[in-house]
Amino acid sequence: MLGEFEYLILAATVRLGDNAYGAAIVKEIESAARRKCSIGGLYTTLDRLEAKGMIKTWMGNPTPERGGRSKRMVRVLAKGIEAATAFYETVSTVSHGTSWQVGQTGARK
Amino acid sequence: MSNLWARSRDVLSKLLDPAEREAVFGDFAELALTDRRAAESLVGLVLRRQLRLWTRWNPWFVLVAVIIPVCPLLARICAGLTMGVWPSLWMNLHHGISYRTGLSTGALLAGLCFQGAALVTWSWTSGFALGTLSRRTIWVSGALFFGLFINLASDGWLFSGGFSWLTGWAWLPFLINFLFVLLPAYYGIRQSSKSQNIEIARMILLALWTMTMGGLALWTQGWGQAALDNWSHGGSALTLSQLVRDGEGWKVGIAQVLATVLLTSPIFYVFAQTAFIPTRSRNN
Repeated sequence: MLGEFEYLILAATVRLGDNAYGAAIVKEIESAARRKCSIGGLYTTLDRLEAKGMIKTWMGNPTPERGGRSKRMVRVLAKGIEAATAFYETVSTVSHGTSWQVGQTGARK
Repeated sequence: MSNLWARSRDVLSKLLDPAEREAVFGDFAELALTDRRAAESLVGLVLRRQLRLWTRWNPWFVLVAVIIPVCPLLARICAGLTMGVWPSLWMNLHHGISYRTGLSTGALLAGLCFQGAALVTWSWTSGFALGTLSRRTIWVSGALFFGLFINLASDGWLFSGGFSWLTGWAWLPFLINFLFVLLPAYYGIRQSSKSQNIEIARMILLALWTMTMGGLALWTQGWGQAALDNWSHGGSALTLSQLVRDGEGWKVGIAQVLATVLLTSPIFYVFAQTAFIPTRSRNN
């Protein structure tokens, strides 16, 4: 089972497609999830996902906006798609019919 | 303060692989992170990277086979050089007395040269072995090497009453430790980072040189005892030619032989790696 941050990274990577790399994934997560994402945390999690065979990373070409520095490109592999799908389905299933209103069934003050 | 964060970021980034450092700095530039946020981001990443490197055999081998056995021996030889040979030399130069050792000035100088050259060689090869055998953990391994050596060597002069901090020979231990161990070890580490693929012929030369220096050091270690024996039988100070002619100095114990072998061993680890492990399989 994936962790929440792992899922966010996989989802952001799939959304970015061929343009998925460190800074772009950070921006995507920060704008979509409205939470801070550190480069250190991202790279550590990318290592973990790569070790699990869910993603593939490689060094891409440098671009001027990065001061001529290269990018660590990311692509989600089949195992990553499966894990992300399973995570999403689990969250959807468990959330189905749940009321998140304070004071009602399933949520407490 | 901003300068301090920038400096921290730069120092921390040196612990990453060059390719990853490039990518991380590119991300920092693109995200326009402040120096502080960049440094904070790097702390966790660097820690995890270093911990992962220490799950491999290389840094542990360097720690157990090089740092732990070599540092105490280097510190001990440095202390010996400081407390024994140099005061004797000083007495010779200033008063013409073969103080304690019963060696002539020439023999004493030759002994000092051999011991010093061996010490420099051992320190350089130890540094070179640190960098070659575990290149990616060199910052931690290097800090352990220098830290342990300084800690052990300082016992001889920081806390003993033998030297005053303000007068006389206070500068001597600093100078000997620095010139004979710290500086050569540092250059050994630097050299290892420049030579990723070492030629086998060069390694053989290095190993031969280290063995020769080790042999000379072993030989000259016995000079003091030979001179003392000679002196106690009423003989005059032994000269270099007498020592060479009579083959004096080889009356060394198993402890000295073992110490010399341990001090000479790092270059053989590098040699073994160069000769038997292909470059692409080293992963160090």
